[in-house]
Amino acid sequence: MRRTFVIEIGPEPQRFSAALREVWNARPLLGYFLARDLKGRYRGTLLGNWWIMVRPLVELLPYMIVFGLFLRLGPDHVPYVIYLLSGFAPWLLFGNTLNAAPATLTRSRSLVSKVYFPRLIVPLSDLLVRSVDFGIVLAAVVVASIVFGLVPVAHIWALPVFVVLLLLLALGAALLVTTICTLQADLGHGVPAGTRLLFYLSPIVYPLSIIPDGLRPVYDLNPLTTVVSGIRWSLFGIDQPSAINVGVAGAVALAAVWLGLYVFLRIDRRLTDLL
Amino acid sequence: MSIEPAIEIESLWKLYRMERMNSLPPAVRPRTARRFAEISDDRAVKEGRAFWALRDVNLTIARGESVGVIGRNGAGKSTLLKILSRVTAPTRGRVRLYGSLASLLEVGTGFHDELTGRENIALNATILGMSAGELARRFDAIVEFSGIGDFIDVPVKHLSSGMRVRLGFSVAVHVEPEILIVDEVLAVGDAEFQARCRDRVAEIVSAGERTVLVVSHSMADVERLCGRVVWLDHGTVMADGAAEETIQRYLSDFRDGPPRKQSVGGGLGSGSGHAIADGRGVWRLADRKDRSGNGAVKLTSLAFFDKAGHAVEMVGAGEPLILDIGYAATAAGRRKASINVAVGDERGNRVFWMPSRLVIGDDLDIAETGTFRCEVRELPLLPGNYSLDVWCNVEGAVADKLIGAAVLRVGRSNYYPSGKFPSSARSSVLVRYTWSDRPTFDQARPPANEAETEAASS
Repeated sequence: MRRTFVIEIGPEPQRFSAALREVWNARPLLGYFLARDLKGRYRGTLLGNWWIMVRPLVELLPYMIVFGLFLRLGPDHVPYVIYLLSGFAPWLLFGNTLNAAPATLTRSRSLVSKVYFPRLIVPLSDLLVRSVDFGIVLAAVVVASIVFGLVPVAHIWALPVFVVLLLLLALGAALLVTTICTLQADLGHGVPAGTRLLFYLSPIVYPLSIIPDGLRPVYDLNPLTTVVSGIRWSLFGIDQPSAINVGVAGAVALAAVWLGLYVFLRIDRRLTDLL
Repeated sequence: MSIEPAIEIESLWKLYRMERMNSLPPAVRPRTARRFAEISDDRAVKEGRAFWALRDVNLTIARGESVGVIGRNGAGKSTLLKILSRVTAPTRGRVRLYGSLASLLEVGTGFHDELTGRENIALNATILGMSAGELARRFDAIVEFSGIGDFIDVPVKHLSSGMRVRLGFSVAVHVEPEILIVDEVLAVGDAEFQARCRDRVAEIVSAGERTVLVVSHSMADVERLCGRVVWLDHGTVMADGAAEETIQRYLSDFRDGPPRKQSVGGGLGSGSGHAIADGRGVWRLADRKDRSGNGAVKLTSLAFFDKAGHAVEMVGAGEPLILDIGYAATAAGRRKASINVAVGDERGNRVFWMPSRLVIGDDLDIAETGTFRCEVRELPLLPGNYSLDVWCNVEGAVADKLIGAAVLRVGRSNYYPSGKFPSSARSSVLVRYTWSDRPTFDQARPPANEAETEAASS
């Protein structure tokens, strides 16, 4: 008797381990989603995928003018453009993922409401697309700093640590936001305001030195601060984050990923009814 | 011989809530709270905040069996399929699938406009569960079957909708799952491609290796493809048995006019999902919930009149028919509209369609409330019952659409001098014709003028 495998469908959510295994088995799909988004996004435009690099530069223009030119906020030994770009690269990943998170499932409704595949693929592929943007801009920062005569190898060994930290933070936050905003649509409208606040509460467009010393202990608790300054420390040797803050950021990242996965996987099949 | 099951469905229930979540969904609550969740489900239904789309469905389908699922709109067919394809979770009950399952529901799902046909085939096949190796082996067959040829490397946004459909169907039929769901897809594409799709599905069915579930409003398709038919109504199984018998029972229920209201809950989409007449030929549409469209215009009623202007429930074959459709428009909808009435027979085949755009160049004007009138000089329908779909388009978008808005009953008449009609198995439409044993062109002139119509029907 040919007995292949049995699929059980019931009201209860999938077991955590089974759900993760399913996502792992569906990873070719992740590749296709990534390819689809990367190829589809800028196809038909003159600059094509050069937009990945051009867009952040265009978006940074106002900050360069206001903070760099008018307020002269740049640190002493790193050109402001490079300083800005090195902080903006992780933000491209984190901020854009978070801003897109409320609508990721809704945007792929035509697919999600018709065919079954592990739903986790949707937020994961979104994160992957933005990771590509991040990687390219980060590489450009490294190249540019060499051109500007900086030796970008101060503590380069630490760079992967902060990149992983960033990825975990973005994943956890995105899963939580996607789940919560699909359940309760009102919250989706608050997300852009929240990310903007986070943007200004992290040392992206201004150097750490402008934060009053008394506020630093609280300010440094923001895991994104740790990630941004960690990346700068790895590249330029400035803004070194303390070990305690790295520990805090790591703990926050792991907790966010675990909680995000848990919540998302418990209700992912019910989310379809709400789309 | 023991029967090897392919699908086992045990006491399946599915609740849809009409409100958005205002509390945590049951799955997030601790396990011990699930009993309370069930109590709250029942209360939600009683208070009209939710409805059961499926109620205690039990089915066992054997490997290699081909089963048709029929029922009116809102009977729970698509909900059942959504649960089987794991798109949505059941509220209670359990399903066991023995083997892989793929559905041919809405082909071309997930096509990305900017990607080429080739890239979309790969994407679509992977979504439907084909491995990279299988895809490589079947790629040529997929392209061949779709017949889109050189267009394979063109972004699909440049393909005609027919080509997209063909491409999508082609991928889906080549996935070759152990359980195949065919949901209303046999009605897509041009006639030639439809025939090819039917043949392909028939081939899969007759091979007998795969379990096939066919959902269709076309009784002809169901009868041809399935040995067994399950009739769903209001979320419960009304009949389950040999195809012909079940279809007959379903059709005779259809003939008996307006269906019963849903006994429990009286929910949306099912209970109110059917045409309701007030007994004088006026069909109330205002309260129907099973409508689609952007709502700029709402169709509120539909009424039939005979040529003397009397409201009628039944009209004689070949006689004139006047059809009034009442509407109410929102401020945004008060522009120009086109209106459509399509007439289908009991077997789900569309007989004809009367879009206003074909007869008047400009669209109709919309007031706050008003009536559109359609006059049919000579109703070309054989005696029987017909289902009307009505929809209204405002500026190119569907404003309101009702499938099965009303049932038109066509009675016998003296349309033909003999007073008889061909059986509906042999003819679908009424044609005015003459026969002569001394043909001259003078005589054979088409006699469709008013005077002769009068003479024939009186």
